[in-house]
Amino acid sequence: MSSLSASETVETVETAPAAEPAKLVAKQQETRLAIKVEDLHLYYRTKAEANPTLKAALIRKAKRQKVEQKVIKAVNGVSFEVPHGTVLGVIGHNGAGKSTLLRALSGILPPTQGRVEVRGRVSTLLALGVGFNQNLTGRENIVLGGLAQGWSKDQIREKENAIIEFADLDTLSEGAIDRAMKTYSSGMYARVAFAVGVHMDPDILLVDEALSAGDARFKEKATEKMLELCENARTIVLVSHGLETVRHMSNHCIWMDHGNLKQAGDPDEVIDAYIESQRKEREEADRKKAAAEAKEAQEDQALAAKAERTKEALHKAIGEDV
Amino acid sequence: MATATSETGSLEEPRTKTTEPPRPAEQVHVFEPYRYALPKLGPYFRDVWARRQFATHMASSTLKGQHFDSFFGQFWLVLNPMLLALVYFLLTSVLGGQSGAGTSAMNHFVGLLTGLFAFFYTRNVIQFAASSITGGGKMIINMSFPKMLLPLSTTFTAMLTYFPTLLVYACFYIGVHHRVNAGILWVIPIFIIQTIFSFGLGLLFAAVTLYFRDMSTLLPYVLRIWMYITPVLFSLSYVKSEVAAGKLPHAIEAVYKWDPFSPIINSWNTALVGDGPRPFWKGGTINGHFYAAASYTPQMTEILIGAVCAVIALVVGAWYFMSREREFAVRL
Repeated sequence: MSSLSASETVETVETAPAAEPAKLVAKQQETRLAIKVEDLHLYYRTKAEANPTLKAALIRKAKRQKVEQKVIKAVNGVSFEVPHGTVLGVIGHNGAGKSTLLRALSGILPPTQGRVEVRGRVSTLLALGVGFNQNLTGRENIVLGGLAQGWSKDQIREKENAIIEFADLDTLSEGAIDRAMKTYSSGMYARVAFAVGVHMDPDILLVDEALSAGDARFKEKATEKMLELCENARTIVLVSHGLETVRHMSNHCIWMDHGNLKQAGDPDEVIDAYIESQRKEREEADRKKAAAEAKEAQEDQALAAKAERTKEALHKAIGEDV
Repeated sequence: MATATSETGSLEEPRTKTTEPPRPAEQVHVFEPYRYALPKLGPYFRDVWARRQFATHMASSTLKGQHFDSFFGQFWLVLNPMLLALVYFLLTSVLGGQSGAGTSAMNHFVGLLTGLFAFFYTRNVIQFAASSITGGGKMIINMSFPKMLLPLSTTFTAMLTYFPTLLVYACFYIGVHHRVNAGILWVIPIFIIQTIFSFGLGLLFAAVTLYFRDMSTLLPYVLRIWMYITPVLFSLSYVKSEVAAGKLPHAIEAVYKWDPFSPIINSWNTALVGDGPRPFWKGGTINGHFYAAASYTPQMTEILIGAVCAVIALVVGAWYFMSREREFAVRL
């Protein structure tokens, strides 16, 4: 990936039509905005080097050739607003730009173009156990994870018991919280990480697929906790492939498609439309596959017929000779 | 492209008609495209300060997690530099013939420890910092925070590694020198200058390593060569006496003179073992030249030059690091 500075040339910048800000709530003018995204573009650049060796690089240098850079438009002109107290579900196929969008909202990835405004204390659950040290115990990692999120030791000490209780490791394995985290199962690890994330009392919580970790019972608990957070006028942005989770939890939904905002609105509508489009895509793919197969079969047949004809002609010729 | 702003301030929201109960001062973050420019320093350092506990705690946790499964455990923090010092002692006394026998050998050993431990500290600060950004990928890509916290934390790690070795050094020092001069108090300002100098270089290498990954392999060699051109294994006065006696070329003295780390480490050596050609020098003749007894007060000019070098290193390192840190997540 390469720099995004102005001095470098980007050969494929096509101006995407700036989408109208998706109106998530009719009465949004009256509500406090938590997140405002204006015409957000976020591109990655990858060097598509076929032969990434020093020799090739030197030869290129000598020939004054440049490595072709491929621009991947992860987010391509997205605008929307999220009022406080909203649970926004973000859905879309793999590589649609959901996670990149979330990283832009949290300020991790700088936008290539456009503007993001976030109001309030942000806590991110983009990956589980960020800042954790595998060699330390669960208890020590709660402190470390909390400090990583920007909290003081006193604040963490206050919440420590609630976090440990929420993670509820004792029912799985007695005294696990005081053992090194590298002895944990991935589910136990996820429990601690999730517990730290949601107990940090954020105004805005950005979650990426974190709910998919843990067993059914913990998922239920996590969902409850999230709903509780929403009721306390917290804002949550939830990226998930679990469509039912999104349907159940969020009150607004946006659908990302190849970096564009395809649809926004009521979760039921958006999710149904998404499912419908997925079905269509699948059918389309099936049809294409069937067509390709039919064509192949036809070609095979034609070839066989041709061979047959040649054979006959040959026979005929030989026959005449004889 | 527009400027980079990521402001954290307590701004009143202009267009709100709040019906909710009043909330504490709200943080507003604005993320826009960026160019290579420094972030706003006020909010940046406020954020660093707010997360200072994270940096220190991560440093101590790193140490705690490091050797916990080995037999000697935390003892390795002292054992490691001691073993290395032994290697260099054998190297200098066998190849260099610097030491005599008995007390003289012990003097030489303590003199060697003085420079070596101090150099190991700087080496650790730089080396840990250089891998802090490339190694902290998971954190950088999943969390928004002032990236300076990572090299800062590794600097604390290096410091925590250094202090136990100083205790061991103190035992050797007292054992050989039997007394402590007032000049020893100079080690405190020198230590601070050295830390600033090392941290500045650490910031620089942390950012450079991200763009030029080969640096992580190259750096240990650079640091090792650097050690030989700094008065670590051989004190400055020793080198001067050897040059004066015609045993070493003049070029070596010039190299020692122009090394920016040289004044710092030489002041350190002077404050502890004196400025004689050998540690704890009591005065006398070497190779026909007469040398006065060692003084334990470092030269003011050296300390000033060291301080200036430290500030330059910090400013350049911090500028390079901070003006590029918004791009780190994209580069990883």
